[in-house]
Amino acid sequence: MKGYGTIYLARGCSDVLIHISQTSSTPMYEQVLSEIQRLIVMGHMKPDEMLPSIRELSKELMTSGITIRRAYQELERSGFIYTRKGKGSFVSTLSEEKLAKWKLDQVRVPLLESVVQAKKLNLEEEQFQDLIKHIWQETDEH
Amino acid sequence: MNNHDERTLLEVNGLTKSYLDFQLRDVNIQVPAGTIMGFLGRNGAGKSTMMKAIMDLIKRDEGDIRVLGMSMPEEEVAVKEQVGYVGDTPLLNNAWTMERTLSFARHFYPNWDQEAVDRNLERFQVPFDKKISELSKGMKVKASLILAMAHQPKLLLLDEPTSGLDPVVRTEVLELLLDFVQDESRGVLFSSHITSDVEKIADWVTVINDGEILFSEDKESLLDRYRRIVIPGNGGGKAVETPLLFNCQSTMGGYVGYTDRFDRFQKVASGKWRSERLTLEELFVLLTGRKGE
Repeated sequence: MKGYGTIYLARGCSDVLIHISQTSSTPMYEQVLSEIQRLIVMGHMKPDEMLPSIRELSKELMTSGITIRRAYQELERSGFIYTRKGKGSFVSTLSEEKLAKWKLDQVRVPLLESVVQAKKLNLEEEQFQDLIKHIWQETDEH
Repeated sequence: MNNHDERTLLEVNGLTKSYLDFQLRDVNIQVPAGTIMGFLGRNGAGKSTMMKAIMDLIKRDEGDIRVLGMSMPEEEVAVKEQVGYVGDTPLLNNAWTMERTLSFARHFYPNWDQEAVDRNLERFQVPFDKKISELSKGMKVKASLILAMAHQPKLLLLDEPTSGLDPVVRTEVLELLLDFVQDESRGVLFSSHITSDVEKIADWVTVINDGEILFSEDKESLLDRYRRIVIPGNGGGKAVETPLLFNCQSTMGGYVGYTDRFDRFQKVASGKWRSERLTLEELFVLLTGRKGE
């Protein structure tokens, strides 16, 4: 049985999946958007590979078509996919700069919250950087 | 009237129905092909009345109803071939088995799709040879849906298909509806007071309150334009006066209000504030709950 809100996007490739949560406070379309962006950036979906149709993905994720359509529109606007009328949506070829920028953007927001929190608690910049170093090494071991 | 737009499955214009103690007022809705419309309202808001008026099960006072461009009730026979309706009281005969029900019903519809019926019976494991009266509530709903879809209608009109069902069966029913619109030519109008079901699968949301349609809008833009605005501290007094905010309240930490024009609010608002998206449930309660009490 397929997992709830999980879809294997590229068939036959078990680690390529979208995971979304119906109970998350992040809007559905944003979840779908960032999950597909992640798959593209990490190379799980190759340039010119076709995406599932809006209706297909909507059924698989148990989400309304209009939510998927909105995610696809944002993907197109941000240059991650392109659409051929009557054929479908395909993965765009992305520049290295764009890939790097996207990855940094994903980390920037949560990091910003942490920095604001650290300043509120009067931590020193050095302490904060040490903490990052520490966490970085700690998570390496696993 | 203008020419029928191929992409519109159902058009209701100016539908009105008066009872002594209740009035359905000037209902206008459109269900485009390939979409699911969730029809939300509290108990007694007029959901069933509207559904029945569309099917001409109750006579309307005024209004124009078209299914695929054909008008009701003038072209009733042709319309009913294109519509699968499941009302608030199931029309299944309790003394019959599903087998007998289906072999009886198939004679009335030229487009009967036995393969789809068999597939759905198998998929939902609806017992074929038990009397309807012996089926669980969930099974009865599934049986009604299979029956309503058997003649390959373009439009499904479902009155509270998921109410009273356990979460597993509800999910199965929602999946069946998403399945139904896969080919983009068919559509669903289903009423519900379960906002999460509508939020999950509906493309369009129509909210009815006390016989009046509050809005009928695509779900994404609807949830986009409403926000809860939180203004911290006690400097919020000025901001609260803007006509862009309603239902404003003072709280311990500041002010809380709501806006239905968030893009506008963003442009004119100054000072400190933050916004929170609303779930459909929060929005529904905000707009239909305890007004004027």
